[in-house]
Amino acid sequence: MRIRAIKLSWFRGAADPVSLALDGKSMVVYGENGSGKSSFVDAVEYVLNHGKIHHLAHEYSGKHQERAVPNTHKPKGRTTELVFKFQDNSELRIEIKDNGTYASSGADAVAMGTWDHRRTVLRQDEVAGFIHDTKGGKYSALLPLLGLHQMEVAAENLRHLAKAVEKQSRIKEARAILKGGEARRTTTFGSDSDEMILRKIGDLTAKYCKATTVTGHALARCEELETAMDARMSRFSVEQRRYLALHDAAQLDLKGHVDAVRAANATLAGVAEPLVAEKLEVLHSTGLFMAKLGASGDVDCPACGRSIPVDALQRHHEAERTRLQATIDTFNSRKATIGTLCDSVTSLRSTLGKVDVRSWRNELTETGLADSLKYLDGLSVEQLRASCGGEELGAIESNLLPLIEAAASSSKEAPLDIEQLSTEKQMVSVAKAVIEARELTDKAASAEALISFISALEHGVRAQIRVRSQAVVQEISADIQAMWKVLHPSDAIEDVRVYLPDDADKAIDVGLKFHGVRQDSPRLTLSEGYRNSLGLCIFLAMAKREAEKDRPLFLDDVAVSLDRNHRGMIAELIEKEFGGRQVIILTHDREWYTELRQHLDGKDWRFSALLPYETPAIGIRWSHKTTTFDDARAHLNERPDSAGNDARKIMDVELALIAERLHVSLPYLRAEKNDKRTAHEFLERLIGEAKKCFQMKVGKDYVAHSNAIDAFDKADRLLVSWANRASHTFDVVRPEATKLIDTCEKVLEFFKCPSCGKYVWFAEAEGAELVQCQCGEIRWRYGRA
Amino acid sequence: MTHNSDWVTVLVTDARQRHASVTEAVAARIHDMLNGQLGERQLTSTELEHLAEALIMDMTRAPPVSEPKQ
Repeated sequence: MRIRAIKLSWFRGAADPVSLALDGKSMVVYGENGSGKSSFVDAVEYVLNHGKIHHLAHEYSGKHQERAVPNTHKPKGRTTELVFKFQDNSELRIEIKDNGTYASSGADAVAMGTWDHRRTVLRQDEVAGFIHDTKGGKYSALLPLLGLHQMEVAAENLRHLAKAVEKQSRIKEARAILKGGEARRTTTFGSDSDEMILRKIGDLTAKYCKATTVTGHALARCEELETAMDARMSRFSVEQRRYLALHDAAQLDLKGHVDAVRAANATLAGVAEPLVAEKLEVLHSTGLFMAKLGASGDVDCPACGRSIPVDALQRHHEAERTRLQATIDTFNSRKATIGTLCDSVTSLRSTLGKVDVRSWRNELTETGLADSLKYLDGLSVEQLRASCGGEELGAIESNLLPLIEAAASSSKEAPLDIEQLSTEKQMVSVAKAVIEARELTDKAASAEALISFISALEHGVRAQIRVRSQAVVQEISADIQAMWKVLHPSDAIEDVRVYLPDDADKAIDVGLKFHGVRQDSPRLTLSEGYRNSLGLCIFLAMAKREAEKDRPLFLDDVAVSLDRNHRGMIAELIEKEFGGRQVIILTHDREWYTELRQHLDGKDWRFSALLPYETPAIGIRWSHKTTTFDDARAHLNERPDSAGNDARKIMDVELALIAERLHVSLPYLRAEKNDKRTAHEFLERLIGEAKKCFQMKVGKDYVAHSNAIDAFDKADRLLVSWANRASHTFDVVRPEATKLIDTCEKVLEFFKCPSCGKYVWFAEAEGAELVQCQCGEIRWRYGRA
Repeated sequence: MTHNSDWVTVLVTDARQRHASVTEAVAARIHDMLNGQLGERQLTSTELEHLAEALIMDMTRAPPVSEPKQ
């Protein structure tokens, strides 16, 4: 959808309503720096980015763009408003409130908010942005064009889903529990297999349970066995039960558990202290790295500062992540070891708290272990679980190990059958843990299979993104190459393209051949001007992908760093590749503006110049002329000499281009002087040749264009006298400067046909060595020169 | 997710063949999600947790028993 007009009211540099009147055509807008031309581009960005203007989002305005969006001198009661009028007469109106919020109305069908800003607007400081961006940044910039955004979202969701399953299924905790259970199993069953353990349980079942009550499930069988053993124990005498309890207490491997916790604490201390120091160092470096990345876009290693490929950095991060994971595993392992110790302490307290061993405890008090019993009764297991350092472990050793030794000593006198029952009950308990561990192992394996499945899907989606990207990237590369050839037809840089690096996902880079040698990055060889030129080609190639939608393109001062030869080809490139699109070029470069005005067809293009900016209250104003003489007139009141000098500079530029178009021969000067000729030199030659070459139609015949020649002569005399005074002695008064400007402006009008409005060089007559306007009313016979 | 949902079917089928222990219920749920919510927007952590929970449950779910033929 083409734009008919963009109207700004008290937005950025605009004061009272000012319109960019496109009328559906393409347009070149000239304006000195600060004249307000970018305000129109800001308006487009404001709409496309839903109220945000990227270059305003800095530390001063930040989130509070309401400070920068309205004209700083907006009077109370005036409204900040943008109005976009489209070719189908629909209209989009945006009212920006003082608090920074905005309301839009109308033109729903246009859905301008869905236009991609990165395909619509290119500003001077963004031209090489794509090239300077990281591979990931380039990928993000191209992603919307690839049409694979949904697949990318799906891949990311799958990646996060795999992590969520890992967290939810507690695989790591399960592995730690299993590791802790292994020690108990080895102590009780040695190297017996699961089947052998189950067989032993079967034997015990036969010994203690009635055949009719036995179930098939192993865990349930263990529980039945425990019940049967408890029932048998309940029939024991008080003395037998005391022996049994003391035997159970003696079986606890409290010393082993204390040693295990101590070892885990030591391992953790070895890991944690240097880790914390190292993390702090990395954090510091990362902070510096981020600041540097934001400023230059370079990717430097946060640790050593050397420039490294992003993928190498990613590998380093992955290694770091793995190392951190190992540390977390160590933490989990320690947690499980403490858990086992706490279970043993709980078991000991429970066993020695039984009524059956009360008399034994009384006996123990007399032997000097009263404090140990007191310690056991008062010990908080939860506190121990939370903090289990050297001090706590020492207290456990000095207080509880003597209790276990005493229990072991007392239980030695136990009858053999009681000791056996206790040992067998212990076997059942461990067998139960083995069966539960097997189920836990199955759950962990199931979760791991699920994670692996989800990861395989993620990789599958990414592979598919790559395949589909490849096709689009090749198309874009072909366009970039074609455009580059237009801008740089004879340069030794060729095969410029975007490509997907083999060794990284979600990455795109730019490559080229420099004097026949393939280079993986343009930053290795290209000058700033060439980078900007390449950046422009990339932007245009990406914008072309949306050509079928006929969305306008805004190019804001994008040719600044290009030399005249390359800059001149931009118009050709735009005409060739975007002939059917609406293109709005904004520039402060008078020479380029003049060149575009002379080169581009007025049928499709409009040319307008902005007046120099005066004050915020006056705002943005258009010149009524397509030439830039109003720049000179703006100084008439206060600096007539400056106005006169501006008129001369304008004529220097205009006449140089005209002389080139009309093949006016100029004497060769030494070195740079050829490029620094003055308006007087051009006029002198033009006058000489115009007498023979510049003709106008009278009836059926052509006669010398004497009015034009007189005007050239008059202007030349004024330029030699007054313009030189304006430049050198600064004593030109206002009436003189006014007359100089008007006379110079009139000279240029003679090159445009008063009938058809086209320049005299509009059409080249075949074989006749002449150029003429569209209707043939004026012509230039350069063959006669 | 894509204009060609057959591609998702191939992807899920291939992945399942390489992960035989993954149940039909998991494959079916993921297939549906890939053709819908997963490609539409980035899911929140709560949504991801619920989905993970459902998939873990699906892993223990036996495939539906087909009706005996008469």
